[in-house]
Amino acid sequence: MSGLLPIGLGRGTKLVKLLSGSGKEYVCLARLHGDVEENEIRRVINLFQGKIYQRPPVRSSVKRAIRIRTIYSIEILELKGRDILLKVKCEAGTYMRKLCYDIGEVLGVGAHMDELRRIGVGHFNESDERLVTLHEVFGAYMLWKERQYEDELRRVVRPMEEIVTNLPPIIIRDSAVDAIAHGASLAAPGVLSFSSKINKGDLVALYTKKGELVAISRTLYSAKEILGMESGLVAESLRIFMEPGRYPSFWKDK
Amino acid sequence: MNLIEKVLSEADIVKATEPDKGLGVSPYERPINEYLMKGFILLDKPRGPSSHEVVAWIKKVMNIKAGHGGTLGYSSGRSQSVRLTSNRSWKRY
Repeated sequence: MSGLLPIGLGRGTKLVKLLSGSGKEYVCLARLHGDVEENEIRRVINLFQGKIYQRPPVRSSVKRAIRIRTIYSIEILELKGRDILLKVKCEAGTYMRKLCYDIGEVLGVGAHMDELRRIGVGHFNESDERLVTLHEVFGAYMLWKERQYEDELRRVVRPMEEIVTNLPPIIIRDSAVDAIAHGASLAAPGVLSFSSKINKGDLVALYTKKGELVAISRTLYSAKEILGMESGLVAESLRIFMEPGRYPSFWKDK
Repeated sequence: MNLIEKVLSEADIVKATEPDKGLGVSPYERPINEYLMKGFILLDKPRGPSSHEVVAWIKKVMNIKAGHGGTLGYSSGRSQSVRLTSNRSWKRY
């Protein structure tokens, strides 16, 4: 049970929680409890691609009711005797331990998960150069605490903005920032520029000109419609990340 | 170009512009304390400690609020007993 674990710090915590709901990718070692022909193993494992029913395991943090989860892909990397090394892309909330157990049940011999490594969370994957070990985190923190050397800590800890690089951006006016920081929705005059890929109902990230994340919002119009708007709300704020008072509040005294 | 500049460059439709009035700061140039409070770590979690233990450890060492995105190895108790009694053949992939 090793691998990718995004950890949010301070305000970044709120943002990292969004990743809980995104797709995951694992490499997982399943061990069968009896001998089965290779062709049969391959046939059965293929059955697990697509929508599956899964009851969360006894030791789990959710209600143990059968639920449906999607396995986007399941690939056998290696097959040796009773050991099956799998690469699985799946929906959030899929239990790999249970998947291995269920594969064993269908094969009729039983199976358990012997080892698991997570290699992908949302748009992050194992080849990411930002991936760091606990030793690196600890070392970087000590260098800063004891010698006031920041560079290593700035390499190990990344700005929370990098968590949402997969969302299309809307860059907003300085004068709109504080209103949104106080909970307002984005109105058309506050918009400077935005991605042409935006559709109505999309999740978008609102940024200042400097690239500071202001909020995660849901658009009420498409990019084409937004371009033609002179008034009215453009996107409703879902999660706010800019603290009130950081930018001047042009909206207050009017 | 850093990752945030890359995202900003995806804003390809320009509706209006305004001059820089010196407000705000690039996320990469935040003062270190604020940088940490608005940051995240993409950790390669080792085997052994649970996600919750790792987060608790980071909170304690860094004296900061922290949380993770998606539990990894929460229900590892059973497999660890299996691990101790079996001759494992996990090959690093």
